[in-house]
Amino acid sequence: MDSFTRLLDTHGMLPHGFCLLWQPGLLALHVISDLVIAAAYFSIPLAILAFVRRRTDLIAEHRRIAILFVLFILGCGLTHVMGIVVLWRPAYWTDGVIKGLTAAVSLITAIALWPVVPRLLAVPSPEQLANVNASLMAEVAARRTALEELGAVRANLEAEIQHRTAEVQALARRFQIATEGSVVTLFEQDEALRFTWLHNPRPPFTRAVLGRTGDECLSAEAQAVLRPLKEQVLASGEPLQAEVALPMDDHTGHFEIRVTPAAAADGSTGLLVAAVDISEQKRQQDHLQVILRELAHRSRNLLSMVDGIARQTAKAEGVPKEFSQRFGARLTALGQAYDLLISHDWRGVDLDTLARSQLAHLAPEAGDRLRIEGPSLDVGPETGQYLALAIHELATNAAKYGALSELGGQITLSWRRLEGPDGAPRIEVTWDETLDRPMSEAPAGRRRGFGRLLLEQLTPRAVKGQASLVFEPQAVRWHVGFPA
Amino acid sequence: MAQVLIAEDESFTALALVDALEAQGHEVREAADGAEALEIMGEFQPDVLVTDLNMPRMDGFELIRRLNARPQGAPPVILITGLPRSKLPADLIYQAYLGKPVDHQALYALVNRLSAKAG
Repeated sequence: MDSFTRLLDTHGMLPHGFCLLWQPGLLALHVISDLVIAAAYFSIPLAILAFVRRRTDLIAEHRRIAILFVLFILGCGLTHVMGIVVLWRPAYWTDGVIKGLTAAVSLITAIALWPVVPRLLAVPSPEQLANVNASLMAEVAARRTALEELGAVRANLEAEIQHRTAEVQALARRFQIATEGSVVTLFEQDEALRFTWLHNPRPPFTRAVLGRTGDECLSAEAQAVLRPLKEQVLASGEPLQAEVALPMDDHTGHFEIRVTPAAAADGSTGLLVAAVDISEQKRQQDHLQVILRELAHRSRNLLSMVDGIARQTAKAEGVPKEFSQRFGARLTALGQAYDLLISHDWRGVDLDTLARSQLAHLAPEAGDRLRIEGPSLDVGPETGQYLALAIHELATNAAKYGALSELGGQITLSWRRLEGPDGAPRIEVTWDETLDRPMSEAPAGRRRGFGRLLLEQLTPRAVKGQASLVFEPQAVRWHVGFPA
Repeated sequence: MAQVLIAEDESFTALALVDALEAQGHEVREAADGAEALEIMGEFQPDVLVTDLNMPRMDGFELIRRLNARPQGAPPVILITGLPRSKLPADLIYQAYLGKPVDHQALYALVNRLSAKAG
């Protein structure tokens, strides 16, 4: 109470106006100035408070500084109010206390302000913010442009994907149409040989195999055939093709199997298998074999019948017996060539087999005097027939008049494959017969007979090649060359 | 000389074989099929049987099977056939094979060899 009384105590003190001699002009100057200053000092805190209240994003430190400034300026305003009061009323204690409080607040504000200065300095200026904003705007614009470009690229990609998808779908449709109902079954198996995909299922590869391994859904006999093939492809990484026979419920199915390594989505290696059911083709091949065998049988019977007719005709007409013998022997040579061609499905015959077949009846007696040399080479049916007849003719002459007769000598029948003048492959067959002593009797080939006709004209014409026949007293050489 | 039985249904072939073997001095009988061959063998014991395989009534396969079923067995058999040797059944019992048309020189050699063995 005493302190409050003292604050209001003016006893013995003079108003400040005395110092100004109560001059009206001077008093007015002070009063007006202090009023304006006080008004300004009271309005500034209001502005600061309004600012602080609206800027909700201000950090606590800045907010505290703002409050201190509010108090400090408010205190300053009050000191100017007190400056007016003390002109007429000497409340210097009150004025002093207010100044003291203002001084305390000023000091606290000053102390609090310095540490904040560096952080306030770090706050970007409006110009900096404008620059940053401008660069941000530029960046945003660049991003927007990039986004637009990306959008265009994406649109192109989507169009491309749609195009490719349409192509893939069309391809899949064609694939579906081409293989649906065909004899081709396609399936995929993973690393553990589990069926993962199946297209156009046909026994024994039915829908039931999906999700199972071959061991779980195929017969042990079928697995014994298929499993080694698949394991070989998995181990080697190389595709493999094989023809296999698989036991079915009531028959044996024949398949052309192609096994190819295929990468699975998880990176492991699986298999893509194409199984073409060739059972019908096989059945037709077998049927054709039967027909070919029957044809061969009938052909040989027909040749035999022709041989019989020729012999009886010759006998009735008084033709020398030698004619029947040579004619029959030629038919036999032709029949032997037929045998070989039939056994090779009329696709051709190996020269070595052909030569040995025609010379078999002479080989035991000829021994080392007869040599057959040459690589494994196949010739066509037409060529095979004529070469058989030619070899037969030469061998018959050799047995009667040449190296395989009592004269003695050496025969080498050889052949080789070589490149012709035009670069096309050719085959050359050579009969090289040398005699120990000169021939006393002219061989049939030396005359203008069947043998010479066959060797010099008919055979080269049939094989589309060239031939030469040379007779010397102690040698017979026949050479024929033709396209391979 | 040997006694030879020829079983062949094709007449020209059969006649040619008969002529050829008779010209070599052999005694030759001829049958048109397996059944007739069996009948002839009731009175004629050949040293060598020359037989076709495809014949009417009784074919060569059946003829050979029946001859081998006899207590005295079958005489040496020379097959003459249009069938390739590779296509003959594995259980067919025969001593020699000649494809048609028959090589007469080879036939002479075989008859002589087999009849000599049989004798």
